[in-house]
Amino acid sequence: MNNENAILDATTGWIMLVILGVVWIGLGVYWGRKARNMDGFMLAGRNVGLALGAATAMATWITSNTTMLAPQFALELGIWGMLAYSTASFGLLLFAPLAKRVRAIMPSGYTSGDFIRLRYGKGAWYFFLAISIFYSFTWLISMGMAGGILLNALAGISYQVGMTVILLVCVVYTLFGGLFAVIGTDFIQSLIILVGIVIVGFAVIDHSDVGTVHQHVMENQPMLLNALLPAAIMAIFNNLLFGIGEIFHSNVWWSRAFAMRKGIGKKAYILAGIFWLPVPVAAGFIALSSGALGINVTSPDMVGPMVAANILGEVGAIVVFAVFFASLASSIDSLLAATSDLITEDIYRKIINPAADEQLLRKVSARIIIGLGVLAWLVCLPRLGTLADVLFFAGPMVGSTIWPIATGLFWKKANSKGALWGMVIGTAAGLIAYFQLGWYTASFTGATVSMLITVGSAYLAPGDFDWRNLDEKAITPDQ
Amino acid sequence: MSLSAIACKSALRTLFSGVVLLGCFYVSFGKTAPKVRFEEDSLFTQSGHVKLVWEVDEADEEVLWEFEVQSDSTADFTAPRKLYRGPDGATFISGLPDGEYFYRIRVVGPEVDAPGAWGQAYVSVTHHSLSLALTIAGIGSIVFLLTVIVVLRGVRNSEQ
Repeated sequence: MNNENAILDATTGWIMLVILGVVWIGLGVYWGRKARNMDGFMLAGRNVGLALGAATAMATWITSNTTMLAPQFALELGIWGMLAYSTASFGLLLFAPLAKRVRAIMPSGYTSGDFIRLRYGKGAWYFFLAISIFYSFTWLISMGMAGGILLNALAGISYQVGMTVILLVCVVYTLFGGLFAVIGTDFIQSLIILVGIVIVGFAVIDHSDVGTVHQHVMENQPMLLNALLPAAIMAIFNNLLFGIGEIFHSNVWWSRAFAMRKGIGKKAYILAGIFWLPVPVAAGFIALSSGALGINVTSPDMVGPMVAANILGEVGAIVVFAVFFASLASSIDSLLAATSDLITEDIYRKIINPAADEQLLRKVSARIIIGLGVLAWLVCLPRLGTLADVLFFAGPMVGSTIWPIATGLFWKKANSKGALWGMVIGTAAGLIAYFQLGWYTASFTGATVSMLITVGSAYLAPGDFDWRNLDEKAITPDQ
Repeated sequence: MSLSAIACKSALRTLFSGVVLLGCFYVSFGKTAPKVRFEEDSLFTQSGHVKLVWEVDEADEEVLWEFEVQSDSTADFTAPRKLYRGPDGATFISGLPDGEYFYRIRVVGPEVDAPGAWGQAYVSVTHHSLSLALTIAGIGSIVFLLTVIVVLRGVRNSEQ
């Protein structure tokens, strides 16, 4: 970790960890009682209202990626980096109309995989599942890593122990409560996050005014204020397209669209996008002030927590601890639930055992949640790189799914070959860009190549899709 | 006073003087500062940021050493600038313009008889081409706008 100065003593850290862990597990078990069938466990009874819907979308999107990666963006890429990160809110805003469409044309759908299978057939579905599961897993790993890094920096708890505890707590409460627990805890976590960010923001402004920060950055890190910093310019639309790709394809967002009451999804995602927009800017400003505050940054993904905890002192570090724990837990639980749903529904029920009853599916789902937790733990044990390295490796893959999904939802003429090859070649081209130019070009390349292939194929060999085929219960009532 | 008592007193005085001398020696000279070096002594970046990580000799890893890191634009450090002083094992540097940068590090504490020898690193910064960046941003903006158009037109058509 290279950092020798923990802000809290380990005992306080452990007390916080135990309190937060017990609270989340307790709430998970309590809310889990509502989940009496698979619709309840996987989709919270398809009856989530506006307040819970907006809160869960916002809390899930405020992850370690916002609280830790947004400051890293600002520290590495300056002002453009800070704004580039906030463009991820466009993903939520653009998904709002999609959520409405998804709920209307797939009233009995469970996962994003269901859509690709019914819309494009098995070839595109297999490749999509590979992308989606890989992406979810990299996100999960980046969260586990973030938990370990955070507890080490704030309380001196070893990386391995911190990472293990945070994964364990989230696995246990997701296991008991399913999406009911995820959405319920997300609501409380979103309140903790928003209040905490406001406290940290005011504290930073109180400790160093904007003029001092500006002068320090001008003298020591001049390129961070340069509007023509090439890497930052490239990152703007790359991050925008990465965010859109993440939300358009991931079952984390589709499961919420299916879970919300009819007419709620669009409003909930718009509200979440608006509330989320200023968070990375605030987090980025915190990072830029690190130099003026005389804080040595040892790892760029830790600059946010380090600055916040340093200026707030021990009591403030407890607030920071709670905020970061909430932001991590709200994402890890969502990922565990949504990825488990995807594997249970798309792989187990559709490929391995179509005759499985609800009881068996619930058991399989529980085992998958545990398995995902264990696998993530194993991969997190050796700290592989920074959070950006881990997460953005999936960038080209998720970027390549944007156009197959957008055109698949609205264009009858979008076809299977275009979707499949758009994802395959888009992913390949994006990975080449990742290694040749850097992560800040990978999602952009994947999305652009995929767009050309998907659109080209739709015009060269137009399909004629019947939207009624997306309502699986209507076409196969026995399922 | 007996002869043996005088001899004993003399021996104690000698022993005390020796301890004082040893103490003075320890205070004056302390520990020997170990050699510290950067993990990578030559780095290249196209985005203007690097992470400098350093390590001391294996035998001295248990001690929480205090380091001093300096930077300069020339290899002979004619006008060094203090970058960091403390116990951390790395520092992250960002916002560097095109150019060559030199860094050096040494152990300065705690309780060392003299600062240790310098370890050095060299960083070369050549940013990506601006025309490439603007081209990528231009194409990216088109892809984004087309995505927005597809979604909004799709919504309008489906509602009709």
